[in-house]
Amino acid sequence: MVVVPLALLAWVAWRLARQEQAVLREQMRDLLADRLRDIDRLMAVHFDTVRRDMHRLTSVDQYPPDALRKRMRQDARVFQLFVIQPNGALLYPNPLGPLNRKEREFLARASPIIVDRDLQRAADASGEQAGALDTPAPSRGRKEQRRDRQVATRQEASGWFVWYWGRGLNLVYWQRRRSGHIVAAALDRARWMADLIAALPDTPQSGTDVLPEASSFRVRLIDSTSQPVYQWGRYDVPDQTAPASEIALSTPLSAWRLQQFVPAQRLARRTRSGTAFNLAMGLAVAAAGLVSLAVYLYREYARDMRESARRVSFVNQVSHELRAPLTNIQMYAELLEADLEQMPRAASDGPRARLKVIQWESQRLGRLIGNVLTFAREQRKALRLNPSPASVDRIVADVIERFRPSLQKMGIQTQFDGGAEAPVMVDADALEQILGNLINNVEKYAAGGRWVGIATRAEDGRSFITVSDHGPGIDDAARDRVFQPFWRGSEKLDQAAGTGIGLAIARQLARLHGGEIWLDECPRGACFQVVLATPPVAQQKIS
Amino acid sequence: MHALIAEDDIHTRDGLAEVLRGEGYDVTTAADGQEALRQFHACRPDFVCLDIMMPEQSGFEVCRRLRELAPELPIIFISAKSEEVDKLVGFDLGADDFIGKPFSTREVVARIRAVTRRCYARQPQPSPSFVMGDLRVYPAELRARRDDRTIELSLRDVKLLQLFHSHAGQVLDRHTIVTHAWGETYLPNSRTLDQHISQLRKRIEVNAKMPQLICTVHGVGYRYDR
Repeated sequence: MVVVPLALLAWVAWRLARQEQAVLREQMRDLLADRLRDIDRLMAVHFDTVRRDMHRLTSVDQYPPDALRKRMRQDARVFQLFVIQPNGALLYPNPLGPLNRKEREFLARASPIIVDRDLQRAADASGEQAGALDTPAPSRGRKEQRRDRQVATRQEASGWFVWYWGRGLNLVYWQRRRSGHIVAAALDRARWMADLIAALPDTPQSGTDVLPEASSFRVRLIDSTSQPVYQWGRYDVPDQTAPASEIALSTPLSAWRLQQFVPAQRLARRTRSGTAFNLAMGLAVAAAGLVSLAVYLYREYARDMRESARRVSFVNQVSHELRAPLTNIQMYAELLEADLEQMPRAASDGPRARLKVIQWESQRLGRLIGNVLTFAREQRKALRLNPSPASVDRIVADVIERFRPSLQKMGIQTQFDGGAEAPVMVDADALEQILGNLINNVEKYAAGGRWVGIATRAEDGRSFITVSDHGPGIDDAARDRVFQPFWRGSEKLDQAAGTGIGLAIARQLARLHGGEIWLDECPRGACFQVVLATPPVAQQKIS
Repeated sequence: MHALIAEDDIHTRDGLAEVLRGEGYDVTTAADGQEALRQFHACRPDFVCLDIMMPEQSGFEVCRRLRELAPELPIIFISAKSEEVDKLVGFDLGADDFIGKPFSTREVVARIRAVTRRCYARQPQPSPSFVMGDLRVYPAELRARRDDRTIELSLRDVKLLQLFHSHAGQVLDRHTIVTHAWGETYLPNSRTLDQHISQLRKRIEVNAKMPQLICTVHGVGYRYDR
């Protein structure tokens, strides 16, 4: 009761645990990715600040070189300010004009901007995108179109532009002025990277619940050539180790990625330890529940058994106690009968008749007590039969003879067709009890039929006894149930009294005798068929 | 033939004693186990009827003790405890028979007669059979036979028939007959003997209304004519 459900539970739990581990691994990856997204947000916030500053710096509509140089020096993060004319030509720094060192250096690096006009193309593409609102919709009214145009006019295109020089990524913030000039600020690479790294956390934020120690992780900032630009965390990542999580960074570093490495064992242990704990707890709770249930049921069972044993013992005791006075009633009735036989017939007829009633009733009481005791024995599996050589017909005749006075008094005619005279091995007490219960039922339930027929026959080591009557019969639906203990056809008070164990006992005894009892089909009344295993015996063994 | 009845229920005890006395046995009674053992030493019965559930000492204990004292003594258990196990214990202790309560007096009489036959069979010189007319009487079997028919007899019947057979042709007065068959101390009423003879005639005579074996001698007693 405990082991099998526990084993089943353990198997189910193991399956669930595996599923849960897979889910936990996914959740862990998501969690780690979340941490990386947090870092990405930090970087985005940092670049947003830079963008605002650069936007202010590039918000200029007069482009004298000196003024621009002065303006550029206001922010140390700027490597070079430059202006592109609407026709794409570089206005400042003018390649043809006088240039300082930084300006020459910039021009040397900035060929994609100046020669290839990549920035201008990017700005044009961005401007077309932004200018989409500038196209008036046919359905819009004149007033709405005017407002849209004003919004579009105010909305000046700006953004980040990335270009590579050597192996390094360079950032440019640009904005297109109303005049069509593009004013841009190329950031100092060393400076913006230093600022970016300064803005990064030493350990992932809010990650203490997952990765409490720096030694337990490593985060790498990977550039577009898959080279680590910066990394933190003390976990020494083995070669060829795949990152536990990885994300692409937001603009302007969208070509870069963040990778996070976590020791595989630690990750597995964290997922497993949680699962194992949950599994162990679940199993422990289930086991405790099952054991408690088993203990409870066992206690209930033991209590029932004790109650049952007490009841059986009580029934036994009561039955034995009833037998003692019954013995005296029967014995003294017989002694009185012997006394009456010595009296003149005329004077003793009345007392004899009354005495007969006492004898019949005491015999009936004896049968009832016998039934209760047999039932109690059967309940505690103590019912045993002792077949001995006897004639079935003789036993049946004796039983009929005992019932004859009461049957006659009730006006029930008795018919006996014997066909099992030969001696066989039979438990006379059991057969008497079976037959007594059947005839007793006829008295109680079928007396109106005024007839009971008993027939016997022997065949192949078996004895068949048929008891039929002309009473009201038994419904088909109740054919099997009549043999169940305590089953009564009706609980109405006007029904015949009875304990409801007579037929159950008859069936139990018949089965113990290697036979069976059943209700046969018959045109009228009820017809009980009893068959007993009765091996033949030699004639000389008959006592 | 002497019987000892050990039974704690006074009515059962007296009733059984009356039944056995009616059969022709001398009866001693005991109300508990210890008294049963005392009475056994006092009267040395031919057999014992024992109840199982008795005060002082149970029937099983008395049975065990009696077996030690008299291994051949027939013992019959008469008890309401007629469970299989009780019977097995009883037989294991050497009981000869087991009668469950409630019982009919006919059943008890039949069992007692069977025990009596076994008692006679153990005697070195059992009473020989004798012939009365066309009837052969077997005292040790408590039976008589006419042709192929067997007639069951009580111990008292046998005593009466032995008395009549040994005094063939003589008129036996009522006192002599009663003293022989019922004992010195028994005081039967006037009809007891006549009733018993009447019942006996029904069993052993061919026609009880015209008795050929035991004839009435009016005013005196009875006579058997060889």
